[in-house]
Amino acid sequence: MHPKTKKQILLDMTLIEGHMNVIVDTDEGIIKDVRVQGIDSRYFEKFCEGMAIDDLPKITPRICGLCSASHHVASAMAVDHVYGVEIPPRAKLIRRAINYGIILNNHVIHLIMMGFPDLLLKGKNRSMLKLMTVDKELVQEGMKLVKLGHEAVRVFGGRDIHPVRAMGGGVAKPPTETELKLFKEMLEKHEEVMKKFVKMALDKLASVEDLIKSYPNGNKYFGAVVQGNKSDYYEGKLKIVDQKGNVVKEVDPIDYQKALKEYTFDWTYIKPVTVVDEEYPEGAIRVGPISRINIIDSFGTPWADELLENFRQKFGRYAWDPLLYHEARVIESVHMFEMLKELIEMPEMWEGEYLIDTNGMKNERGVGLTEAPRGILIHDVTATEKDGEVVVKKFNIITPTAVNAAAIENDLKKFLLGKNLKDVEQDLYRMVSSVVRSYDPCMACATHSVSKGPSMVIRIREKGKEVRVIKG
Amino acid sequence: MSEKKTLAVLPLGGCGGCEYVIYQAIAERPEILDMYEIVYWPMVVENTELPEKVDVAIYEGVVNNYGHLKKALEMRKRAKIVISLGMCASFSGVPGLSAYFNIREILKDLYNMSEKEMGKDYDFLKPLPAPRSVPEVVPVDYIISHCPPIPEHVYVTLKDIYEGREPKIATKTVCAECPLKMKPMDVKKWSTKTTKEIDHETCYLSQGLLCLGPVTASGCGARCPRAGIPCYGCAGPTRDILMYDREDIPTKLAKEIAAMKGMDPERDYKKVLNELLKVYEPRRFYMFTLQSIFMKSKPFSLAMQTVLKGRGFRMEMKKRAHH
Repeated sequence: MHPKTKKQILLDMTLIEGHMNVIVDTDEGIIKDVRVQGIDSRYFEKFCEGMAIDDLPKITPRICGLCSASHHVASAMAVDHVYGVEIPPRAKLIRRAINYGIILNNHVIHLIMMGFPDLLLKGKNRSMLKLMTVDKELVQEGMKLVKLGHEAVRVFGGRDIHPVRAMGGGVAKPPTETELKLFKEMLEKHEEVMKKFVKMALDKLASVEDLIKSYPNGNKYFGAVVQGNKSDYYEGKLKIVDQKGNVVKEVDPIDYQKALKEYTFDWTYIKPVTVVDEEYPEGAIRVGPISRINIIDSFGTPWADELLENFRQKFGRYAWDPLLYHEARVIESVHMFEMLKELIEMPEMWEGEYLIDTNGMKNERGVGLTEAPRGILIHDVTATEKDGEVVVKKFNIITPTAVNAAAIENDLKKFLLGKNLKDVEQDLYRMVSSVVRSYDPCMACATHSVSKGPSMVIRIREKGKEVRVIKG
Repeated sequence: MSEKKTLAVLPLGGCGGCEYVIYQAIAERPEILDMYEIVYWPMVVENTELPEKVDVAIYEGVVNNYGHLKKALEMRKRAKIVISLGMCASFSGVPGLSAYFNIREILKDLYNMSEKEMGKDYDFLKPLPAPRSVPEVVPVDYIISHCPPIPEHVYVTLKDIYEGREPKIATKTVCAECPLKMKPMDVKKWSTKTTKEIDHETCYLSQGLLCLGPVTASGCGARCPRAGIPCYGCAGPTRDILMYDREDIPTKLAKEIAAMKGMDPERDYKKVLNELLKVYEPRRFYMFTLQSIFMKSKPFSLAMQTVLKGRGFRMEMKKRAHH
């Protein structure tokens, strides 16, 4: 051990949802290790213990203010399983619409608030506000779509942030006919906006293609929720593939522990995840848009399939570079938009049963597996009966960013390990944050908490003492 | 237009929903950007240090570890006006529920680690014994409640501050904004779950479905009852409950229900309260306020008793007596 030669750099990430530090360890000026640190926790899994399982769909959205709707849906699914009910088709469509709405919303907001400022702008204080002075139209059209996505969540879920309608057995109340009609009109009106935004976004991404290609992939495994060869943005099996698309694992939601393994460390509040028979960090799994669009054969909706075909012609059948996330997000937004249009046309959406009354628990365990905007989301409830009420005995949540944490580390390592700190110091923050931001990490989810750093400061430490502070 | 004021957004341990609401407020009311210059907001603006001085600072989220505490204190020194936005910052919110368990037990169960081990190399990671709301840590000038807050409330408050007016205080309850119609109440047994039989045009309390509407502050337009779910108190308690030491959420609700039933609220409320506590676990009354300084400072609050019970306080006292 030569502690004098070792240094540790902490990078506080900005332009992401929540606070993440990236720890860079160096020895004799050479980068030896890169880790992702989540800095606090709100202990959701613990304090839900002893609370009624009916309250879970109300409590768990508070894990994340951005993808609250996905947590809402996942919890409701887990509660369904505990009660042992198959929900009516109409309830399922309503829940699907909630999830589609939030994916559309989150994808577009990431592009205009974090993705494009990172890719397109230069200099200091990059932000959406600054992007607006350069490219007002892009941001404005984006903002319209963000609102459309949230409107879907509001109409079907009752509220835009932290929706309330889904509950064990279905949904409490379906949207009224007027609400549905108004939403249908809104969708039709946004067709042009969508076209305009997608064209602008793809053009912008094409203009920085060299930058996007400069970050290599460092991961072996990729996961998504699927039904056969089609992706499903609501329910299905958990599928994990390797770089060539070969199936590594394919399990039912209840058996997710046969595919995934969780870790705990004293330097982070995130619980990283890997494939069950490999070790951290090599066995990391990457989830989210880029995994989803690679794992499937096709979307099944014309416009999204056309974009997917173009994507594959440009980057190959299996394209895993981390910065391709941005383009995958654009393509998925289109798919979500088309799916919403499809859902609203279905007659079951307009009439029929929407709730089955639930009484007493049938299964001890219920697992809700769904796709959140950033990847797979698992809510695993173990229930017990107490004073005639079904309450939570144990609760486990696996969020997309907890799964991605180790994957981000691998991509960063591929790029940085073995490099001399002196060569990259100037651009270190920019490079690291580009990779991190492409994942759209949501630290609220990852640590079931969110908090943000005071500044973008790189602190270089020697034996615990600060020797140099770089302010970017 | 006179000179712009500066605005900082300080996120602590929250979900990001409040920050999203600030975005929504700006998207709907772009004139906010004419009144304020955003100098600090890590989610939206890259490369920002805590500003030297700032006119208005908005806090979001609970104070959950030493890193948060340090930031919260530091920002207060630099800010002229502090707004706590949302339920986590103002009343400890949903994360406040973790006060029900001891931090040692939580870390053991979730991370298999002791209090000393967690974050041993990083001071800012060290957890506080229980989450704190912002008013418990620093003086706060204004509170905007609701989970998530209403964008228009953010706009109105920022505008009032800019123009030198005092923002208005909400005094009504959710019932004042609820479209459901009350009927004579003849409830034998209370329930907590929406079923198929529930009539969505009639007041849930009239049908025996527990609703926190009568004890929850107004301003949301009764968005949950309109969506088919009884109010669960995401706006926090009404002004009356906050102001008077002897008022509490469950007792106030029992009094309101007693009055609806034609009983004497002051004399008979205990009977109703006992019925309510049979079906409603105490934590459900405080889903957003369990660890709030307002509730904790009430001498007879059920919140405090609940927290103590959850932490096995009595058991520990007994153990000590033995030794």
